[in-house]
Amino acid sequence: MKKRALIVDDTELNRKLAIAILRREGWEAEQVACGKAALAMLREDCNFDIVLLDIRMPDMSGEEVCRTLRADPRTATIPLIAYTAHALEDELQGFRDIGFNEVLVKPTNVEAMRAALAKVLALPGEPEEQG
Amino acid sequence: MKGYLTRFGIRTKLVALFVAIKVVPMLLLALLAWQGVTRLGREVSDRSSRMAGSMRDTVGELSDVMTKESVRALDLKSRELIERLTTDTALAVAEFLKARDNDVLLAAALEPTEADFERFLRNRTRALVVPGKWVLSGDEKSWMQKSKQTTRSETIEPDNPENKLDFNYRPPDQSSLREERPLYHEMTFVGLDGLERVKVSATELLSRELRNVAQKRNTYACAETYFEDLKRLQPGEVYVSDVIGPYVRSHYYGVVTPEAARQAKVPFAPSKEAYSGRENPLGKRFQGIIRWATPAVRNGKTIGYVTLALNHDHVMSFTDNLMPTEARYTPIPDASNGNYAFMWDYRDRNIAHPRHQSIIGFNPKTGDYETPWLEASIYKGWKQSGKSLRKYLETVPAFDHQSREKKPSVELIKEGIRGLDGRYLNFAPQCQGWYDLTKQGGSGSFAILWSGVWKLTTAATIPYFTGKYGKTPRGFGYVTIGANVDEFHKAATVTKALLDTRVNVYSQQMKQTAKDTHDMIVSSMSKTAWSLVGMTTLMIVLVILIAVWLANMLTGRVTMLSGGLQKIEQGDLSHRIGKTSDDEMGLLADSINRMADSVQSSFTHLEGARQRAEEANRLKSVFLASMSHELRTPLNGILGFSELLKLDLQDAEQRSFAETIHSSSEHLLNLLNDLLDLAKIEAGRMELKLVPTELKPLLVTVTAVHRAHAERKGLVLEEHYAPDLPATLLCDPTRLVQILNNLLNNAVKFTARGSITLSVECLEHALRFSVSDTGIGISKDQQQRIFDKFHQADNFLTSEHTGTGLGLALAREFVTLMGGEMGIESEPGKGASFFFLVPNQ
Repeated sequence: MKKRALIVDDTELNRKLAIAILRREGWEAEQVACGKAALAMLREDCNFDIVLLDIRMPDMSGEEVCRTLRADPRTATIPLIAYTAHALEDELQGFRDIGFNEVLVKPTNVEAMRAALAKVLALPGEPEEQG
Repeated sequence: MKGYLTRFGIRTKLVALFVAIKVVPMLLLALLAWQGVTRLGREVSDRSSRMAGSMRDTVGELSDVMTKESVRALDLKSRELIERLTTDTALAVAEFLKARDNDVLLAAALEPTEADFERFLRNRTRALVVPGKWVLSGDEKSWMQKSKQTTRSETIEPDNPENKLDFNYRPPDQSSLREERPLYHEMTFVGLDGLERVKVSATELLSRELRNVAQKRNTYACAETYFEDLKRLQPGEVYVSDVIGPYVRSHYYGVVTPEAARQAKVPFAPSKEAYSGRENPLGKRFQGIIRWATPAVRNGKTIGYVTLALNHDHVMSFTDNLMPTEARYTPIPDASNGNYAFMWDYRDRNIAHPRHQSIIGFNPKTGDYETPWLEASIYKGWKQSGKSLRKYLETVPAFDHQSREKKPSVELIKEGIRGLDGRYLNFAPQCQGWYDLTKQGGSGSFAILWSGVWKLTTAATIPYFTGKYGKTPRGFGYVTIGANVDEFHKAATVTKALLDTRVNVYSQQMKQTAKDTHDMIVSSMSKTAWSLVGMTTLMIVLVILIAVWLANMLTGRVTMLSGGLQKIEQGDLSHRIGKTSDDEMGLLADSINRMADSVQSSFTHLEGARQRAEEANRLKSVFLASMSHELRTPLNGILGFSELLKLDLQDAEQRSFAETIHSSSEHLLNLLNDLLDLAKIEAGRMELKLVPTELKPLLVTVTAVHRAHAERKGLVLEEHYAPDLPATLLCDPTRLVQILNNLLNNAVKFTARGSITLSVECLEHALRFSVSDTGIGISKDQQQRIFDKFHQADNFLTSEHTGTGLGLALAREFVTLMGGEMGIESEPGKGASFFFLVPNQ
């Protein structure tokens, strides 16, 4: 059974690239274009192995979405990867602090995507590795 | 020193200066004044006390000298008077004796009948002082006259005032009771056979029997031997005997009192002891006679001898009542006070003395002289010799070493025998003195310490040379008078005592005056000292107050200036200093205010510029961050899809296109990252992650990429690492790699031929990384700007060299953030060497 990923990004280009890489890696990927849509979708179906969440979105920011999800018991444990162009170091740590499991910096490439996924999937029962 | 001085404010210094130039001299002056005053005081005090002392000494010395001179003068005068009294007395005695020669010669012419003899004796009387009635005083320590003579103590003033000076009246001597007494005890006519034929007695002393005087035992005291001498007399020649009388003893030496009797261990019986004048007025008198005799011649033929027995009391009276003092005469002789006269015969035997036990007399039992008071050793020698006294004394030289050191015979004292024979009285050296004075018939005196008193003792020969008395120049004998020397100069000693008292009083006064002077000086000094202290203190306080006021005035304005400056300095640029005067201070305040004006305007200007610059910078950062973010999205697409195409395209040409797109967008991304870093640095948000990093693997990784690039250009990449290179270095490895990449990249980029060298050296506290090349080099001018942002060397703009222009600026920022520094050594055409230091703690 293929692993499922949800891509949340207001930019279609980003969604397409992420889906292209994920599918190439053998994932099943779905997409929504805003935070509210993501929340609505996840409330109905939280059966995703990973959620790639953009930070800067028009209706609500990725951080808000993350906090909302973490506050809801049904979605509290969903693995979240911040998918952002904010490349400043302290910002990256800030994402982890509010509940993101991993950060994937745009622009991304296949290698980086693979590393991030591997890290998050290895999460349960395993200590988080730095670097 | 300089540091020490600069520590204090101007005010303190000014005050100190004032104190130094005003207060210190004032204190010195005060000190000098005080020293002067104390020295003066001490000097005056010393001198006054010295003066007092020397005055006292002088007066004392003067008094001593005067007293001494007076004493001497008085002594000499007294000596003269007493010597004269002595010679006058001796002369009077001689005259008296001479008159007796005439008596006997006259008597020889009388018919030897009782009637004629009685008639002759009847008129031969002479007044004698009689002692009167004496009783022991109440305290039994002395004798006093029972019926006191009433003495009229009247004084007579001179009638004529011209006689007033030293008019000295002396009333008649009332004290002496005089009675007429027969001169002679008896008058006899002795036949040629020695039998007394006629005898007339005037007194009861001598026997009235007619006796044979050729025999001693029939004579007075069995001692007379005159008949033998009479037989040898020529008509007209006169015989005179020695003084003859029985010796009277006394167990006392001094006043006869019950107490003295107890001490002498004899019963108190004054009448049984010798008469001693005032010391024992009730005693037995020495009753002596001196017999005159001369042949009675009838028709040229001696028919017998007429004798006259003189009552010796008349001879003794010449000295008994004499006093060598102001009293002149005494009713009763008194040996106790040392002023008395006495008489000696031509053989130095005492014949007149206040103490009758001192008069040499006979022992009526033997008809011989009684033992005189012998010096202890003579007595002892006599007793040991077993000879008769007369025989023994013939062997003893007269006046043998007489000295006060010698002692009288105690045994004789006990017997009550004290008859004075000067020749053997060896414990009384004055005897020899008297002998010396009279041996040529003269007179004189000397002083001697006797019984603890200095005495003047005189001696004068009695010039009577009848009969045997004519054998020596000493005649009958001599009169001596003893007088206490102290009495003579009593006036002087009284004066001396008075003077001493006066001197003492005077010196006390002087002392008091000196003390008063001293006290006055001390009090004046203390007053002076207090006024000095007061004035000095007042002046010091005034000077200090003036100094403080002046300093305040001066420094107050300086403080105001500095306060104003401080306010301006602290940012109150609108603050201005109030102008208080037109002097240098005022000018200074004006200058400061003008300076503040220009500072304020410049500052306003600058502040605006700064704010604009800051705003621009902030906008730039925001813009860069925003741009970076915005660029990332399309880049994300380009990179991502070009990579996917690169991976998935099968056609080689298409794939190379995709690769070009991908590498171009990577370059774009690098540019973007550099800009982002720069933005972070400028926003102050760049943080390094310093971790211990293994150095060798890092260097290997870095050089591997660049070696490949270099070799592709035909260049050599050399590595020189110090042998003692540490294994790890505390640094941000990402940034270190970034720096090295940048430098190596540039080196490869700007070097056409030759080599590139990476070397790492160990310095003391840092590692020195350097990247050298053999490239085109960099001019000095370029070196100044090469680390500026967006800078590229001129030829950087050529198509050959592409770069962001941010690399070196970033590299230097990173090195600085790591605590190191970066620099360049280069000359155009000779290559360049970039180096940087990373601290190695």
